[in-house]
Order: sequence, then structure tokens, then C-alpha cells
Amino acid sequence: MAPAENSKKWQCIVCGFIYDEAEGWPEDGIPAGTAWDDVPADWLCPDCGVGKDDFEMIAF
Amino acid sequence: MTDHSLVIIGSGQAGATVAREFRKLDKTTSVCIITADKGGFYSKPMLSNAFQKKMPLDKLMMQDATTFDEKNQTKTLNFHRVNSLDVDNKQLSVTDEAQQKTFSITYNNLVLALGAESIAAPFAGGELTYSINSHDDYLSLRQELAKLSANSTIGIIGGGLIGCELANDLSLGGFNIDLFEQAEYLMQRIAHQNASIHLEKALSGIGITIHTNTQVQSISTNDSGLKVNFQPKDQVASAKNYDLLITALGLKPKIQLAKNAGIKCNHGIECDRYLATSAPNVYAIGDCLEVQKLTLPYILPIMEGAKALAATLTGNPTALKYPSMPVAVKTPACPMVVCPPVSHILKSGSQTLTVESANNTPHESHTLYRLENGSQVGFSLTGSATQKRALEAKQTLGYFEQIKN
Repeated sequence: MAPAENSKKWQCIVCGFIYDEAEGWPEDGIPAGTAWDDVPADWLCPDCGVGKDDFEMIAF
Repeated sequence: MTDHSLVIIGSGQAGATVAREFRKLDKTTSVCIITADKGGFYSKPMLSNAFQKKMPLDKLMMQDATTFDEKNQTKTLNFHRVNSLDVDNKQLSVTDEAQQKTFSITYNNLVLALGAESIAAPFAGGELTYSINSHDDYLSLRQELAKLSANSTIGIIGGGLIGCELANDLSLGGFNIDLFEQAEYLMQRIAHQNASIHLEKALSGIGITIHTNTQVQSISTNDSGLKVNFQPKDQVASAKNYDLLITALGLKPKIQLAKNAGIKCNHGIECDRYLATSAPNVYAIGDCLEVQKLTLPYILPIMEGAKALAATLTGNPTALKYPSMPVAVKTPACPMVVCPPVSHILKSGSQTLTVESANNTPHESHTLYRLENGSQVGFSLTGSATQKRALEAKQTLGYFEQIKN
């Protein structure tokens, strides 16, 4: 698993949902530490249903 | 007179998404966004779950108008009101409200992203309530909430999608919540009753008092706050005091500007599958749009519409596809995803649907709607069943295919 400071967060620009690489999204079978590029292309925002194209990387 | 090739009226989710999608395909054409409010981009769905997200208020606005313009090479005219639209001369009359100056803007293509307004309360005292339909509305609500002590009591009138989400969210904020709904079940219009029952139990479980089958009759002020008179079905009328009241009674498409311009309107602005209105080079999208009698004030229809329209406007005519578009209900007490059949949305009784229900337990419900020929046309999922939403969405007919059936 990537060290926390290297992990990135991606935000759904539609609803604000945040995908944190460090945490993954186990509800959809995406383990903690999964880089954004490795999230399946057909994964959908859990909150609003848009696809990966509508996420942007954000810095906190 | 100012000339812009593409003019978008409205800077909400629909207008902003069209601008962004258009810019992905066309880097040079000038794009102007006209908005009566401050403009910028915020996530509308987040207004009903900002408490649980612990979202600082200043982070709700994701991009102010200047940032949005820089990112997308657009020009936002904020605090500008469109007075009228002349479709023959492709011209708008616009008032700069800050400068009190009125001028004309011409367009090659015009996109109406006018949105919808909250339906007004049909009872006396509606003006004493808050309704949340914009970032500004939400900021005013939060200002009022900040004045309340944590155990204050808030009444929410309207147990649809937004009413349920706000009830759950404000309950997590520490307030006591009463939720009023005149129908028999919460979210009756878009969810199956299996899901509604599960939701009702879960919301009750976190301390929300739910009054279904109950008509609010009037609201008045008294010494201890706001008094709500209500009539539960087949019971004696009752009254209760609240510190704050919110109405969430649904949305009504804003069509006046289009109607005054002679554009064909029904409930919304009537468009074909290319989102074209009855006037040349004028399109509509979002909560004000109506296609084949459907008005769908949800995120996915806006995204589908914006992508199709951006392609059409850049020379690649693309018909709107409405695949099955599940609506995620942000009630963490009872996660829920619904995809109502088209006949429920249109309230047309012409289609006989069969209902298939599985795993109807206290922890989840999984309900499917089918046509007589077996085609799946909708679903309501709660609890752990929501994990199956992508699978169920794939197996559900799109809205236009359902209309054909």
C-alpha cells in the first residue's frame, strides 16, 4: 500500500464524493491503496452515479 | 451589443456541465454564461448531505465564477438578469443588476439551463419556511441553524427525495427532526413501498419522527416559535411547535422566459431528442427540459443531456439517450438507490408492471419492476442491496425504450 502522503484524492465534480486512494472503496471491491488509474474504467461514483471522467484530482 | 457564439442562460449543474463538455470538444468558440446569481460551480446534490460530509461551508462552492471561467475559458455574466428572448433576431435583452444597465446580447446558439423553482407551500404560512434550491438558499438555512441550540426541533414538510435526505442530514447535525408527508409512504413517487418502509424504519431508528398520511394545514407564529397545524388521515387534527421549518415539496420547471418568447412549452420546455426547442438554434437542458413528456430533475439526465448537447453544438448531431439512470438517495441511515419505471414518472397507468421482491429483510430490500414480457424497467434497492445497482442498471431498459414498449 502506498504511503499516505503519496496517495491522492479524487473528487467527483458533480456531487463532491471523494475517492481516497489510501482507503480505496471496499464496498465495490476496490481495496485500500488502489491507485486511481487502477480503479476499473466502468466504476461509478457511489453517490451520484457518474463515471471516472467526471472526477478530478484534488489536493487537501 | 455584445456577440457570443454560444450563450448559456443559467450557471447551475446543467449550464456549467454544458459549458465544460462543450469546451472539451471546442477550444476556441466564445462561450458566455448568464446568471442572475453569483455564478460559479457547486455541487447541488451536496446541499442535502453537507453535514454528514462535515463539509466546511466555504468549501461548498467548488469554483467561483472567476475560477470557473479561467478553467473553462468561458465568460460568466453574474448578477445579470435576462429580460426577454427574441428568437427571430437571435437576441437577448439583459440587465446588469449591479450597474442597473440593460443591453443586448446576440447568439449563434442558445442553451436554456433555467432550472426549476421550489413548489410553493399550498397552505397558509408557507413564507415562514425555508426551501433549499440553491447555494444561496442553503447558506441562509445554515445561518439560521447556527442560531439554534443543538436539541432544537425542526419540521420538514415533504417526504420526497430532498425531504428525506435533509431529515437524515440535519438529524446527524444533532437536531430533533419531524418529517411530514401527505402520501402513505416516503418517496412514494420514485421508490417502491418495500424500500420506503425500510427507509422509514431506519429514519425512525435514528430518532426522526415521521408523520406519513398527514396533511399540513397551516403554519403560524406564536411565542414559542412556529406552530404547525396538521391533520393525520382518519385522526383528530393536531398541532406542534418548531424552531425552524423547511418545505421540500418538489420542483417546477422554469419556463416563463421560453414561453414569453413563443417557444413551445408543456410542463417543461418541450424539446426533441437533440434537445432542440421549437425555436431555431435554441436548446434546453436540465430541470427545465422536457423530452417526450419526461422532466427528470436528477444528476444523470443532466450529464447525459450535456454530453449529447455538447456534441450536437460542435457539429456532431447526437440524440439524447436516456439509459436507465439510477438515483442515489443520500440517506446514510438507509442507503438507497432507485430507478423508477417510466410509467411511474409519467403517472400513466397504461403499462401493467409486475413486481419482484427478494431479500426483503430488516437490513435490505431488493425490488424489481418488469413489463408483462419480462423486460426489467426499474428497481428500488436499500441497504446492502444497493451494491447491486450497477448490475441492475445494466439489466434495466432505458427510458425511451420503455416508452416505445
